[in-house]
Amino acid sequence: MKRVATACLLGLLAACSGSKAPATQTDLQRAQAAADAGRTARAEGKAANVPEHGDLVGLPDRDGYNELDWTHMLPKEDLAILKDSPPVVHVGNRQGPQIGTLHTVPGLAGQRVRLTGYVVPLNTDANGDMTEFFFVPFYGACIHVPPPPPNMLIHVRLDKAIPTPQIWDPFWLRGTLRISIEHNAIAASAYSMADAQLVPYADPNATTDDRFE
Amino acid sequence: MAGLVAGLVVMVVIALVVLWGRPRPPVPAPVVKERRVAILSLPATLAGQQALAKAVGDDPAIERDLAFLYVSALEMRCDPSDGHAMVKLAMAAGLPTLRATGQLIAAQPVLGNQLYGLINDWVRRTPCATPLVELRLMDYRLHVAPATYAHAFPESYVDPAMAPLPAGSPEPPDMLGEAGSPCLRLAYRLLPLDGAEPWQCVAARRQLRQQIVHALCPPDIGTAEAQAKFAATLHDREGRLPDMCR
Repeated sequence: MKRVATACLLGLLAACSGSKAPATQTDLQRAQAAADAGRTARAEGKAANVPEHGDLVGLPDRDGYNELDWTHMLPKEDLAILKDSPPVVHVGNRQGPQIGTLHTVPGLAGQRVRLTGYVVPLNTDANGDMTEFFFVPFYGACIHVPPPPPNMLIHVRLDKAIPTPQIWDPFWLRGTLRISIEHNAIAASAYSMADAQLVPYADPNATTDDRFE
Repeated sequence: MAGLVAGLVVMVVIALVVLWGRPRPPVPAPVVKERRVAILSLPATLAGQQALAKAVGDDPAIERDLAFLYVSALEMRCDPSDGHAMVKLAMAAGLPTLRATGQLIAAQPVLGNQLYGLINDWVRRTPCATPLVELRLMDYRLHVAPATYAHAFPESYVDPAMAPLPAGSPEPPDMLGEAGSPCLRLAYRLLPLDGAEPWQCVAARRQLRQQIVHALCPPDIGTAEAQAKFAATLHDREGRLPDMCR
């Protein structure tokens, strides 16, 4: 559960990054521009600070899925943007806008990874079972808390629908990470996952029978 | 009765906005910026609107009313059937349309004239079929895609800046023709659309409302048997939502 707590803490860091600017798109573009500037500076001769391939992921589980920390999905300049962001203002009834960028870490593409987080349902089938969701590092059950940045959101389409879980239930998500942009009415995401499996976090020794595949 | 009165008020307001702008002196040509989608930029041309700009920027409920009045008045001019359908949908879905703006105008009556003058000015300067508009009022900016907004209504009421869909995206089900559907009323009574949903619940609630109106609504809803079956279905489907989203 320590990792979930870490993920929550990071999430709150991201969650506390909402601004009072009126348009989500503007925030996203502003953050993107700031991160672009950092990237340009690095390209002009400063030391590269993207982790090497071997540093991106942790040890594999018995099925060969390497543990991934959410913060390794962001280029370092993006992490700096989150740390410098103003806190969420819990006043009024304006929804917190998503901030951050679509920048990704190329070394993660195609890696078999697992990470802890929460489910945000997007689509269901005709029976009401979930077929599509965002996987996120934290849940903020408050209108003022914005979605995580796009590069801390994983878009997942399931081959087989599953009952929609509770927003606050933690899970392991395992599969092959892809870099692909999804932009829907509620948020943008910069990563997706193929062959995704959801495993309830409460049972880390879950067998294949326990998985939602 | 209250719904009828509210509907009449909305119709009168929109009619005033539309009628206000018939014969008017020429105004500066709008600035069109070329981006992925061309944006028609519409700065406000009337002076002394600081208080209105602050109210719109500070209160999302007034911002929603502003977008609703602008798009519905534009549709009344360019596509009257859609404009009327939007007003009927707002009533059928029980949206809090013009509630916040009504309170604002009651407290500061001068803002009423400014608001309707502003909307009329924007509508008059918007060519029909403009894909994306930037409404500007001093430092305040709001991007609205009128056609996207109209066809995503009532859901777009709480998300007026809803971006146009990328090319090739599947069109969401259109509600404009459903104003008279009893299932639409039920869907929005069961899962009210008030803009107070946490972001994690927006997609799940929106999709269930759409399914209730389009996929689950029985054709023979007038019979007691169909109503009982429909009620059981709604109970089941609502129960499948995460607790936080019910």
